[in-house]
Amino acid sequence: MTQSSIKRAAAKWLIELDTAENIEEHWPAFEAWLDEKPENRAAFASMERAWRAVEDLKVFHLQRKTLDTDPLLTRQLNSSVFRRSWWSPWVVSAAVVLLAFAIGVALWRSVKLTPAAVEAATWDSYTTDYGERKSAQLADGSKVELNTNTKLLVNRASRGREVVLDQGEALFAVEHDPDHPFLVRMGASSVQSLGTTFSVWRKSDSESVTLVKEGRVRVTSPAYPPQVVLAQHAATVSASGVRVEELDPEKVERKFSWTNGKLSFKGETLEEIVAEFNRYNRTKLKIDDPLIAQRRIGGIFAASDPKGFAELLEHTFGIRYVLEAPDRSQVQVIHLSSANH
Amino acid sequence: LPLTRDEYVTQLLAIKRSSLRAWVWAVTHDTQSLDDLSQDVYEQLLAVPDGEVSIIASVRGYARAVCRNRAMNWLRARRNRHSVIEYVDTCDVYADERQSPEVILRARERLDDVRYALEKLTDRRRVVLVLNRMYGFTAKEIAMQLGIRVPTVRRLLYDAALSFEDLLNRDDTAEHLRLLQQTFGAKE
Repeated sequence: MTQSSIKRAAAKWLIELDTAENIEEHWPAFEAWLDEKPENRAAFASMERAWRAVEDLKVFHLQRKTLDTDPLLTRQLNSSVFRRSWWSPWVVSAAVVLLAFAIGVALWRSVKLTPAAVEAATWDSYTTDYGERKSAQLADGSKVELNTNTKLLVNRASRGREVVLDQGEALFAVEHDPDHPFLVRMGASSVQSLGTTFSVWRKSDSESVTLVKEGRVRVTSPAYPPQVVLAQHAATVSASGVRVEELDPEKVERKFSWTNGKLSFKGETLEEIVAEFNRYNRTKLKIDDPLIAQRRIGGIFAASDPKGFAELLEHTFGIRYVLEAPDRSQVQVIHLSSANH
Repeated sequence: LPLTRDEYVTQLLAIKRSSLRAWVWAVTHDTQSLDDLSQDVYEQLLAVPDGEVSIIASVRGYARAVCRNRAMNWLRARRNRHSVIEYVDTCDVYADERQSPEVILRARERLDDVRYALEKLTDRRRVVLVLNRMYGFTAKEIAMQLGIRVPTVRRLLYDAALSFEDLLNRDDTAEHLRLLQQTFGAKE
């Protein structure tokens, strides 16, 4: 082992021990390395001396200084040394993939279109991002409003009477047309309507919730007989069957509050409310303390403001929140815990 | 239930000596003094009076606290040796009558070396090193503050340790003085 490799090993041990959450776990292996040969001990002692030297300077350096005024930090903290450059490996990889895709599409278009391709070309796509809402009028005059993180495909050939809810939630105000039923497909199940207002939320591939505001719809699932769902009723389709329940008008209104950008709750648990907020935002709420998960909360909140909600929890319900810096994928997490912790 | 002396000693003997050394080192960062300090700690733990034993909730936690306190005392004693050499404003020097001028001068030069080595580090390494060693932030806290990943912070600390040790042991006097004047306004 050369002198420089011993030094590198010493530096590695120094940082490993210094940043370890449980130093005892690493200590026996470290002492074994230390006892291997005198050079290891000498290299580590030199590394420690350097490390402690900064501590010696600290006593004097920190007098009259703060993070904001420290000449050793301010210049760098305000500059771009820690900002990621645009050409990071991930961005370059994504660009290469996009370029390859574009070339593929160009080549594919230059050859003869297949029947499947023709069919694919007859679908219009409507999408929304996290926290976004979008309204559209379909060819038959029906109106659709897309909730957060939703993808809806509309069959052009059906004049807007057949749509596929690929993900998310949408509210449909269907134009009356007895000859052409309006069909919403979600995987294997579907909702059929003649003229009504209802919403469909595709929670997962196998679970969806249909909420009827006016009129009635027919919910079809492959394994179970079709169910007619009346106004002020909700039908949940899942692997275990189709469950229909009646809701009071106030609850129905609350369920549709997202159309105004609000989330309305009345006695739901914090766990349920957090799950609902997380549907709307890239900033995620996370309950760190199971003791508060079942606390029941009510009120009307802005769907796109999880931080405001967390602040309100802190001020009103004594629930502490800690904001975590965004990670590599720009996901920010707000940790919720009991104020006593 | 309060601990009896026998229970206390049994639990104390179950704690590995290596754990005591690790806890002491986490504060002192000095392997040279480790055996002496951990021996002190062990004797202190064995000599705890019966009255105190009965109020100990966790022997392990107590042992850890004793290690930390003993290590802090060692650090304080070490810092006191340095506290006589602080610059007042730019260049005035506090002189302790107990220290000889030569000792003060040597220590002052040593501090200048440290400032110089810090200034020579790359920006990223210096910021991470200063936040960790001077301001006491953990790797996780630094990562949050700078918006980078914890492994990146560890890597930067590793690079900083290697370069810093190298710079401290390098003889580069002229460059050193120029940088000192430029950065801190120190007079020769």
